[in-house]
Amino acid sequence: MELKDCKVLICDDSILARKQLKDVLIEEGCGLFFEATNGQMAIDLYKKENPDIVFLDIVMPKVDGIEAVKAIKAYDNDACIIMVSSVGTQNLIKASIEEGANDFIQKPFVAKQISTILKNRVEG
Amino acid sequence: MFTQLFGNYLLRKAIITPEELLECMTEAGKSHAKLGTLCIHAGLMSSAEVEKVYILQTHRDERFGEIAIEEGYLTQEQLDNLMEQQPPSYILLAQCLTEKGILNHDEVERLLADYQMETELYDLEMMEDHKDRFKKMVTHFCNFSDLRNGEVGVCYLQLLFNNLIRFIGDDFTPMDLVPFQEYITHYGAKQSIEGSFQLQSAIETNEQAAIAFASRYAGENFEEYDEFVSASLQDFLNLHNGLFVVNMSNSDAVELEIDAPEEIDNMLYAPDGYTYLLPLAFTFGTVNFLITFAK
Repeated sequence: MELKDCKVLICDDSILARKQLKDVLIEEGCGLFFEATNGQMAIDLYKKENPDIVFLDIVMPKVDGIEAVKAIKAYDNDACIIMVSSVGTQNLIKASIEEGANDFIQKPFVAKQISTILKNRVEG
Repeated sequence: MFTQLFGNYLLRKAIITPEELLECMTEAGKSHAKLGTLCIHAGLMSSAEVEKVYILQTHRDERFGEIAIEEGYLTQEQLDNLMEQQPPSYILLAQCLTEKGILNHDEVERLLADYQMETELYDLEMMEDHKDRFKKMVTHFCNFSDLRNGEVGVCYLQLLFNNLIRFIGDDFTPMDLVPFQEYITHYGAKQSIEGSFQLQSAIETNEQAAIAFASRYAGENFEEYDEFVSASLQDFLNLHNGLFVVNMSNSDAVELEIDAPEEIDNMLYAPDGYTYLLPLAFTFGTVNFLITFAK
């Protein structure tokens, strides 16, 4: 799939974190974005828009990232979900992967990490 | 971090005023260490010898190093070694203090020695990146020894100072910690950490300092207080606390959880517990960090 056709869902309660990630993704060539500010909104948007890749924060109000992974994976077992969080403890990484997340990026991320993910998960 | 804590020491001893320190920190950020200053701090020349070379420089068309060698104060080898070394950052603060006439070279040397004695730190060249010595400095600075989780507080502040330098800049001085019960905030964010111990922290500042802090953190040029500035304060707090939780998990096998950060603009902030105000005097303004330990 070409990146310009890739539908990306970004879920983070921080408007700044969403903007910073979106800037990197635009730089990489992505052009179709959906944004959610909490886990529940991400689940609803996923069901509505069926994105190709999801970038999901963990610590968020209402429904957190781990619960959101579980719900999205229950709806679509092929969903590609990348966790992006500052709380990269072994327990949380393990919980994310066990619920079905495909990868985990520790904040602060660098553009190269996002680029590699896109190459492996979307273009590859 | 030695520079920032040495600045705090000078303030605590009322040797300089906050305004003088701020001015010197601003200058230090734009300066380069002079050879004379490096010679004094390396113990190769006395301040009187350096002054003499400066005077001779006004009569001769020669560089400092050339005159110092001719006068027998330095060897070529010593000069070459000095030129090759990256000077520690406190040298620039010391240089600004002397250039502005706030202290003379001898006074700076004596105060550096006094601070080293008080903190039991003797090798300044080694100190900048030395974890144990850094911990010793922070332990001496915060004096959390009466608290049940005092050791955790030291780790928390160590990481905070590192993250401030890493994500905002090193042009700040931590003022003394002040216990308090209530605080009226301007703009800021709070976040709780829970698990085998509880800790709540908050960041708070005025409008202009918030904009400057956020601009540095986000790498943007914000001009007014808006949702991005607010999000930057929350993100910095969230990032710092997240990294703290990761550190505690990796080094001490302590598993902690953090809540989502919350805005605390224009409110009476009165958390339940032992709370300390840590003012951080940046060159763009003061940013307050508020740390609460559960009772």
